[in-house]
Amino acid sequence: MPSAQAQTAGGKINIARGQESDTLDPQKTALLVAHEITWQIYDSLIYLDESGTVYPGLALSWAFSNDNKTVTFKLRPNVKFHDGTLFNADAVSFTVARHLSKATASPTSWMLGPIDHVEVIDDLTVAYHYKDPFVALWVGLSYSYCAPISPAAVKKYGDQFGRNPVGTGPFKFVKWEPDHGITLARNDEHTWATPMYSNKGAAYLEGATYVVIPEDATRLAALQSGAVDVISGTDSVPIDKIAQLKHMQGIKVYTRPAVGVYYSYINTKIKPLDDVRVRKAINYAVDKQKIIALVLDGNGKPAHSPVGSAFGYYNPACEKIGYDHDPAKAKALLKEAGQENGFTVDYFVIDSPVYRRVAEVVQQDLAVVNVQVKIQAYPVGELFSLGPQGKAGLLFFYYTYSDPDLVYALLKSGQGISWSFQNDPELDSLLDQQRVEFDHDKRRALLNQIQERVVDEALWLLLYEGVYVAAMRDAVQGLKLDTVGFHHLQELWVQG
Amino acid sequence: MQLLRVLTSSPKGLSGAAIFVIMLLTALFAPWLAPHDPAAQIVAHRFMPPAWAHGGEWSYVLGGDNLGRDIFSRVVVGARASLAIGFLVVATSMIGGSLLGAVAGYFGGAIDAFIMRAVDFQLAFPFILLAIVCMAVLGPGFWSSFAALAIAIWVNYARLVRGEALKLRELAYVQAARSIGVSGPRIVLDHVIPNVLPMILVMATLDIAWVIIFEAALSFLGLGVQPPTPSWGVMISEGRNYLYESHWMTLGPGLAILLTSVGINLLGDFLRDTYDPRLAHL
Amino acid sequence: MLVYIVMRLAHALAVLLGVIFVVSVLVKLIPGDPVDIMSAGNPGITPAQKQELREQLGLTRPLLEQFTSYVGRALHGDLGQSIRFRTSALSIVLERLPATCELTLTAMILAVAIAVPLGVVTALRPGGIIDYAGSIFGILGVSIPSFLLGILLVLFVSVDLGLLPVAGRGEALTTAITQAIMTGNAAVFWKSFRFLILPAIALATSVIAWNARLTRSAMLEALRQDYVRFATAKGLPRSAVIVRHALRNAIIPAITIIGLQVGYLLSGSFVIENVFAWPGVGRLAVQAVLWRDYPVIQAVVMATAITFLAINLLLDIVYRLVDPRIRYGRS
Repeated sequence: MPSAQAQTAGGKINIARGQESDTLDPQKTALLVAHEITWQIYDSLIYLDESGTVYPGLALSWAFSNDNKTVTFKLRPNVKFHDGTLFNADAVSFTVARHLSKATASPTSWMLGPIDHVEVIDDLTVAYHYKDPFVALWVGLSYSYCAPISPAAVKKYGDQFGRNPVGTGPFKFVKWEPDHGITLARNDEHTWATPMYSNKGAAYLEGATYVVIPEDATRLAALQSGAVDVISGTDSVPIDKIAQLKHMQGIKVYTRPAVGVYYSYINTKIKPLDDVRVRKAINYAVDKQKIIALVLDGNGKPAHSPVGSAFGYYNPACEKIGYDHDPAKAKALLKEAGQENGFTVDYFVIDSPVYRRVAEVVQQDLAVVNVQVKIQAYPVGELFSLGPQGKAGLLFFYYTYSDPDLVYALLKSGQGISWSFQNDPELDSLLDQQRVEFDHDKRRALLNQIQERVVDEALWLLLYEGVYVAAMRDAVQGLKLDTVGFHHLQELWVQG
Repeated sequence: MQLLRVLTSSPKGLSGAAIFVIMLLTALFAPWLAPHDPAAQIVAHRFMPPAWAHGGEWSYVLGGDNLGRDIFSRVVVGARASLAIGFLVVATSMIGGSLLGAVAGYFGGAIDAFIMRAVDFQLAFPFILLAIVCMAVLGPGFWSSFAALAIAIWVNYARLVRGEALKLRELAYVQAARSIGVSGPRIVLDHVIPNVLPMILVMATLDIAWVIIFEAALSFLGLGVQPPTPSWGVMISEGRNYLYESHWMTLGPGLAILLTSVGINLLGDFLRDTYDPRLAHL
Repeated sequence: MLVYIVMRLAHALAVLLGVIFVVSVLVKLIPGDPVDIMSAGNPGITPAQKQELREQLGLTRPLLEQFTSYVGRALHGDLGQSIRFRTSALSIVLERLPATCELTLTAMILAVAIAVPLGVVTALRPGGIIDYAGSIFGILGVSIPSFLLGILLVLFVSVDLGLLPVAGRGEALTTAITQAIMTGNAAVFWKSFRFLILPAIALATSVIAWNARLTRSAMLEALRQDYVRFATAKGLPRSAVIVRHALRNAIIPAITIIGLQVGYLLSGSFVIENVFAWPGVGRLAVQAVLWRDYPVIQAVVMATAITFLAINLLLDIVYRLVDPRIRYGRS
């Protein structure tokens, strides 16, 4: 809700995060900690909200043709990059070509989907030609990883572009010092904004500096003492400190439900997890409410479907066919499956305090039904290399994404993060179809089936849906968090 | 032994030994001494205050942690992992390091050069980095902490014993023994080790305390024993996030470490005073 | 003397090469590779694309080739590209190295400047109140993990009392010192130094406690020596005895051991840097291992090894200059 107080221009704020960005070259990183800042420096062609509505950004309008395999964008005129060069179709074409090139070695080129090439039609018109229709094309284009970058700056800085980013965004890059953080200053020429923002004109803030404070206690102390004005970003506000922060003088907290699901893959290739009764038993045995109470301090809700409830395509029917906490039923199912003497299962978990705690609660709950869980914590990257090897019985995971198409990657056999390893051709076919189905109702029907299937077959141990949270001093106004949990400097102002 | 007699007459030594023994017994009998299951999570006990505060219960004397587990039981059971790591690491390093040092000092030449180069490399390498790399190679858990810590401290024993062995080589009666064919290892065993044993013991007792504390640092960095096994280090590392909600999550294991360290240091001091005031210059 | 320096330099170089070699091997033993880690959060990436990325980043060449080309380029000052930050590994490490050195050196100075007087004072009246307080501090100092001390200091001194900053670093201390000297304005120095105080204390405490006890024993021992008793019998005032004779001998152990403790302090700084958001190489190193960022891991190891060897070399030279026994050779 817009604040009743009038927005005032000016002011510089300090924003603290828990992790360092790796680079500000949007094409050379896949990390959200980079995206957090590149988002402010670069404009995207379009913007996406969680209902799936697409808003114009650097692209004013678009049209599909050629069986949905070509999208033609009309670009916004009179936009300049921070280095003064003009933004046009050539810049877009250059950007995509660089994104796809071998020399760039981009970890996010897959976001462009089955793109074939980009055609410059005139100065302000550009066409994206795809090999196949790509329903989820908006997702990639809405992230700053695919945002247009200045060809002149890339030529000038070469490899150092990541430390000297140049985009068209509402804030321009000033400097990056490990001691003092990343400093941005308002781009006064940026007098427009995508209609998705409440602030449709120039940004209010004069500038902002992003600092990294790795230790939770120190970060909170910095906010309390006023050394920083905002704490925002993935895991930057410890989830069980929200209540304490709300009570602190001079500090306020913003939370909203996260878009995404926290769950664990159940590896159907490992006995006895290949038996659906055992998988159902695991789901019955775990008390989701307890996890939310103990680990999240109440900030979250149980997950019922592989597609998060914030998505428009969420299937509420999953709540009825889902699994309540019922250890008795779990034991009965295990007995039926011949497993009442119990068995041991390896639980691979992301090596971060919150997720370890979740794993410990799951471990206890499963111990009650005689299933021994051996927890092994790994850094997230290593988990990615271990997942496909299929050694874990249970593998903790979560996603934050803008389109339910992610289920394709999470569930289709052979896909990058499909780690339940189930053999289900019908599910595979459904996943294929939803990918290319542009008709909303038909797509909904397909996704409904997919969700019900996953829950019925208990391919995952569904856990919870979290919250995005940011904490700030009272003077900071207008802060909202988007679908991936980030704020936009465009919207903020400082009172007084 | 004569040592015991001296011990009983020294208040410092006696108190140190007493504390040490109590900790040892706690570790050995932990599962029986802990009033509750250290892994049991009870939502209602989340951040429960200690027994003497409003809202506490005497059966959960130090209160509950962030997952509703009994802090006191966890401290008691944590003694096992912490002391086990302390002893194992020090025993291994002490024996391994001393042997290497003895070999280096006694045989000299290329062997000595090789071992001393290894020592130099070791020292130039920041221990924490070595620990992290060990953890990364061996995977998380008790044994990688063990490896990392053992590698960190063997050098001190090696140098110490080598110094003694070098001195001994020159002594007349050793040369005489050699000339009549007494084997190298026997000389080492009969002469080097007994001479150097007191110093090694002093170092070892102090290292036990150091290892227990450093295990906490490794847990802080996210490397250490895996749940649900508590260790004092893991508890402090977790507890530091909840200093406002529950002092005892940190204070419990913290005091345990402090007490153990005090006991060990007192004992170490006593040993040092007894054997040789020269040792103060170590 | 010159010969000695050259010999020590050669020795240090050999050690350095050995360290690099060991690290290169060790690091390759770590499971997982940077591409897997980079792919974290990339649901759509296929194994074929990952392999392509590996080739593009030069990870698929045979190990020996990788090592030799690394050493070759290192001699030209090129330590490779950080796989995570996509920029020169050397520049990333150099950006952060001064901060770590600042912290370590300050802790070192504290370790001697506080420990020695403390040790001396407690030795003057053994068994007295000051001695008793000293031993309590001594035992507490070595028994509390440094990161916990750091966090407690932040909470009490920075937040509750508001006396010192919570985290971060000001201007480089060397710059601040020169500026303060040139302008004659101590405030400039303080502006930087105030960030250094809490981290340095947290880092140095256990070493201070240890060195204080060491100095105390050495002092006690020195005071017992015959020549001291002889000087007292001659009628020299006690203070003169202390300063002229006992003190000099009491300081030696602390200074001797500080060289060894540099490695320990460098290590400890990795932990402290995390707590205080001190922008040094510590956090960089931990992250580099998690990310399998081989060039950065190697660069950090090299940097810390060089720092350690350099400090020890300097200390060795100073020690030789100061200790008359060595200066005049053994008889």
